[in-house]
Amino acid sequence: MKHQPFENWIFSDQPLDPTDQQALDDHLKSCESCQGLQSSWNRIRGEFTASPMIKPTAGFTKRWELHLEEQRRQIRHRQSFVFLGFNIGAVVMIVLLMALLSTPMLRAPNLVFWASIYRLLPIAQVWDILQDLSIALIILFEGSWSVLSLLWFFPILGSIFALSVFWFTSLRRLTSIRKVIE
Amino acid sequence: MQDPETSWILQAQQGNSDAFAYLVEKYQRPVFNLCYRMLGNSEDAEDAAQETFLRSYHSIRRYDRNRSFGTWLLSIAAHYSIDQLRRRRYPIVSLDDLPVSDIPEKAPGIEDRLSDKETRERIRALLDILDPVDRAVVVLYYWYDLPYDEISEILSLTISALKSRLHRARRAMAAEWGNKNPEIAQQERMQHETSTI
Repeated sequence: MKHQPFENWIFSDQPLDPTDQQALDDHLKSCESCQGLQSSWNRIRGEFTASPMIKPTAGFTKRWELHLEEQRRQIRHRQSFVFLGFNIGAVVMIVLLMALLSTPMLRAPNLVFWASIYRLLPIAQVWDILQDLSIALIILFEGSWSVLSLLWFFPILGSIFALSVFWFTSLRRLTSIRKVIE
Repeated sequence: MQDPETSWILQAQQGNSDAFAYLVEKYQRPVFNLCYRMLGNSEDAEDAAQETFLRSYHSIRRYDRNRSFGTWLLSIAAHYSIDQLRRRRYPIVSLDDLPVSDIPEKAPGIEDRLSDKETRERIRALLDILDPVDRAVVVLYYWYDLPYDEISEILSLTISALKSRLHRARRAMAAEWGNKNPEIAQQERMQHETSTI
């Protein structure tokens, strides 16, 4: 028995015109298979229509925010690992390069030793210069302190206090736990 | 004046996660329902819905405001669920799976709950026989009342392919129902015959 176009009509969303409806009714009287399909489909459609939308358990948004935080933490973690790996790689490259460059010097190690000592001498000179500079700065500071009047003292103290408050507030905002919407 | 949703979307596009949380609150139910109907159990549905919102949060800058936000979200959820179903080797059947339903205002009796659970199991078993894309077509058509063009946009299908899939899915489900419930089918056939006589 031919089941087309009756099957199409059974599963159609559009209402059939009277002639097609009559033809379908006539076919259903004689075709058990199409009859079965129609009754099953009517039942299923009824269940689909009656079945409500399922909603998640309470606190879905809060869980999403926690997931987002966790994901951000993982990204930060990954980025710091990439940064660390890059640095280690760079250090290894530099060490290898230095080893490659210093290979010829290893043939005469005593010469290398005296050359290093000779190169340290300018560093010692720099150290002397730094010491002189620090002494000069201390003298300058002590001198200027006696010159400073009490009128200058309070604005400087106020600025230091304001900067401390600003620093503390920024730190709090950066480290505080994010607001969670219920 | 902008409606609150547009304002939340704009703020979320500028990186405000609190504004996006309002969107999660608003759309959690349709997204969760789609994932639940697609995957068949509440644990997987929860994971898929969470992942949908995370993905949409990260790609919200690419969201075109001329489209409906709900449709955009459903599109992400549907594609993610389809991928999950394709990856799944073994079907997961959770008999004790009872997520919160929306019907009861009063506390339901044990019979109501059993019947509710049985209906869900029957629907799940019917949807389970379908190919992932056909399943998405059926869910979007029957639970969201979306027109053909919107479903075709969500699933990246042509309208004729969509209609053909819907027809194939309906036929497969009706045949499955007839095989699983021969007594009920027989009874209904007899009722039909009596009514036509």
